[in-house]
Amino acid sequence: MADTENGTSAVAEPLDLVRLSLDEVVFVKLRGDRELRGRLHAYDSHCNLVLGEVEETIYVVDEDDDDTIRTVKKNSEMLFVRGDSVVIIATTT
Amino acid sequence: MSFFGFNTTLPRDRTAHAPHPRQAPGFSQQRDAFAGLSGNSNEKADDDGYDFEDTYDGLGDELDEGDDEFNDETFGGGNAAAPGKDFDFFGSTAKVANAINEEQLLYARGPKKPTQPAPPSYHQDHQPKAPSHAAATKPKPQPAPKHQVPTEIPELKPEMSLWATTSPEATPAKNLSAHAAVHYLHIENQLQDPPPAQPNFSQPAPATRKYKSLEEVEAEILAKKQAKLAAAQQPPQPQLPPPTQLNQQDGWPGRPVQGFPQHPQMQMQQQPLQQIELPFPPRGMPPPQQNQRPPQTDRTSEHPQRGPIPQPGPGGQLPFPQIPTNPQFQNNNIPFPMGMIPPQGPQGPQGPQPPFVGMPPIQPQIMQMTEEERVKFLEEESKRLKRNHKIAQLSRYNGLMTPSDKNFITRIQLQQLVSVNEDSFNEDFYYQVYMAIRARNNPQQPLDQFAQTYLGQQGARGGRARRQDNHLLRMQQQVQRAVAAAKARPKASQLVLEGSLGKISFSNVKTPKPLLSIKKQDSTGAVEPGQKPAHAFAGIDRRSILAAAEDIYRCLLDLDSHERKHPGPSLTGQQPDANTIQWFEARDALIAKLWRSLRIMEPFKDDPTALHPFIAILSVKKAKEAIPRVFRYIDLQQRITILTMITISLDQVDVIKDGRYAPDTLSLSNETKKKIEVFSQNVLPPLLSYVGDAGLDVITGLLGILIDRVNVLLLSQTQVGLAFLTMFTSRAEIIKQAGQADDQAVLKWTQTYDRLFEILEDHLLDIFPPHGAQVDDMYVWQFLASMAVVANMSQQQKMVSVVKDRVNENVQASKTLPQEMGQHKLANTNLFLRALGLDIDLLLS
Repeated sequence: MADTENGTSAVAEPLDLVRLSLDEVVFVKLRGDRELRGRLHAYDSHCNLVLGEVEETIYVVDEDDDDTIRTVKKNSEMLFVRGDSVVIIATTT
Repeated sequence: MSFFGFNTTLPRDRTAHAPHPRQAPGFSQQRDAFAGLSGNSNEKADDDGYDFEDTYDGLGDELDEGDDEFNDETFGGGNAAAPGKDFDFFGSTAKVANAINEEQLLYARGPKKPTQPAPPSYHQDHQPKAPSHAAATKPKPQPAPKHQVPTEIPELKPEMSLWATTSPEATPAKNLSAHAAVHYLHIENQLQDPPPAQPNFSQPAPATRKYKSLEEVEAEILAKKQAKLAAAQQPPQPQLPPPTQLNQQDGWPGRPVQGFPQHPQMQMQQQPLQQIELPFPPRGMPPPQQNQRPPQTDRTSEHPQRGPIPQPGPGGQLPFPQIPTNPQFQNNNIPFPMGMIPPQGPQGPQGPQPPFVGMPPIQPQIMQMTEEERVKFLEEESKRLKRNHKIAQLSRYNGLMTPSDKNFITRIQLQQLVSVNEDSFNEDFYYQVYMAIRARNNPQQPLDQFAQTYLGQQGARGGRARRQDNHLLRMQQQVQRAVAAAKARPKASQLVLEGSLGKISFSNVKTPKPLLSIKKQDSTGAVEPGQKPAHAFAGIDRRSILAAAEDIYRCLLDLDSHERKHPGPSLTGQQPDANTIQWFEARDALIAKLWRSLRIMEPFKDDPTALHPFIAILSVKKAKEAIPRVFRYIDLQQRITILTMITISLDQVDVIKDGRYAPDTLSLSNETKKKIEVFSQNVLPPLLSYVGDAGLDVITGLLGILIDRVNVLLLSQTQVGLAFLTMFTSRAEIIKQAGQADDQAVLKWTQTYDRLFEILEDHLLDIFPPHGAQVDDMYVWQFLASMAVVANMSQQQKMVSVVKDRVNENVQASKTLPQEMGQHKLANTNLFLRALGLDIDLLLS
């Protein structure tokens, strides 16, 4: 219980949860069928993010081939993500 | 006049008149002017020395005479001569106005040229008429007077001379007096005053004009008086009372009668003079008239008709319609029965007539002018009118905002301006820090440039730079002060203003104003009082660890920003000022907070497997990275506390726990490698730097604790663990060699070292990373070297015997490996050999 107290004191608003993930590897789901996994370097109130060592996964529906979904992966050393496309920020551990 | 509740028949009525304009909001300045005219006329009457007693019924005594002081102001001075000029001017302007209207029409239709001819014709023919037109269009009494003038065309001519400023007054006076006499007679009689023509006019007039201005009323009265005078001279009076007047008068007769008689008398006496005078004051009036005149075109058509009509009635009538609506109207009525009013109109115009009277003179002027001149004159007039109109429109909203309104808006603007410059560190943090670092790291940078960056930084903060004399800084300060004041005050009211003035917010782009302001609790502060920190970490979940790490950073950031507010180095020998003291106090508080946030003082749990909070926090990468920054702020005692804490719990530190090579693996996980790297780069250096200053007893103590409480064997198989051991042993040796320790301490140290050696001597090979692991084993050799240096001969021999094979391996491997790597390996090995007093070259050779 003390834990929760402690936890809540540090988390007064939603973005504080994101703050806890600073410098941690986070999973970010974006609009447009994209996902990112990378170290969260910075964020702001718009959920603009700066991620490091990012692996981006793009899900593409292959219309020619029976609507199968294939994924495209990209790696970036550093990535700026505009907040308006962020759907989810989650910790990975 | 009676409107105001005065019995205004007396000459003093003027005073009463003066106030009128003010009272009636609807009346324009023009009317005021008229009032002035009427007043002048009255004065003149006085001057004339008319026998008051003749007509005076004593009501004048009841008047309040106290308001006379401003008569001059209101009426533009009592000088008859001056008014005379005015009068002329007015007349001319009135004429011009008509002409202008016509001209404008022509203008609108096509070329201006046609206008030119037109005006002259009008003037000549219509001179009398023109005024009437103006009057018709204009609600003001002035027009009425004009009408009268026109009617008296023959008489007007003499006025032209007046224009010339010779002796215009006399002639116009005569003319006026004649007309006026007629009117006045009517008035006095109150019965039939309105001339026959008037009825017609009166009817149309009401429709067009609704109010009569005070001036009009006065004018009417004056006219009546004049009429009376004239009546005395001339018989026409009877004509005046037209049927229309009677009709209107129906309800009114009662009141007017009382006041009326008086006025007429007074005015009557004055009339001749007044009329003359009146024209002059109007001068000022003409411009306004012109503005109003747009309707003139219609008038022009009327003029011809009216021109013939001798009586000003038509013009007056037009004004009359206005009368009914206005209170003045009532006043008028009072003196005259309703029926009277129409005649009054004409008469009233006479009062105002002065301008009209003037009109004729002006016309003469124009007539005197050549065609070209006239055209020019007219054009100029029209231009002037247009300009006046424009100005009037533009100035309509002048003075809407009070100075305080303006100040407020200025402050808002300034404040938004300033918020940008407020703290360059807020806006430009990374740039500023980058510049500072670059300046520091780049010794080649010219010194002055460095100074520039540095000072620029400091200067912006207003702290140290003494060259704040530059305007920019001063202005900035002023603005900041203003903004501070603005911030302090509005608060609540700003919500009201928002929207109307745009968005008011004290935020800027970079730091948006939060829509929700949720109060942040001070977690680290909160922990202290009630909560037992240990309890807080009962279950050390990842989230609370992260939260704790964030707390540390929060404190660090606070401290950093506080540091930037450093008041500056106090001059030597000077007592620190209050600011400095305060700053240091705040700094101490922040450091204390930081210290608490580390949770390093929390007691160990009873459960031996439980992690100490500090060690748990240290497992997070960012916490490790925070250590060097923490060390910057904490004092020596706190540093040793941290070092001790880490030493005691060393086997629990993640980099040690996970840093051992699993039995069948050749390498550590990537994650662990990174952790080790981070730990080595961030945590070790500050610790090392502290140990580098520590005394031998401290080292001995730490090593003792390590041996007592920690599994040294396990420790020795990890990179970080070896690093700690290396750190202690090498420091001890340095101290020993430097002779800084007494024998007692050295003895103690040697004993401790012996214990360590005992533990490790049989497992020296285990400290190496597994065979084939592509790892830089330098740290192992460093450790061996440090051990070897401290070791005595027998210990060294043991070490050599154990490690010998490894050394040979390395030497062999270095020959097969690429040059660079080989050299590196040899160098590492050589570290150890050198410690033994040997050299790798011996083996190679």
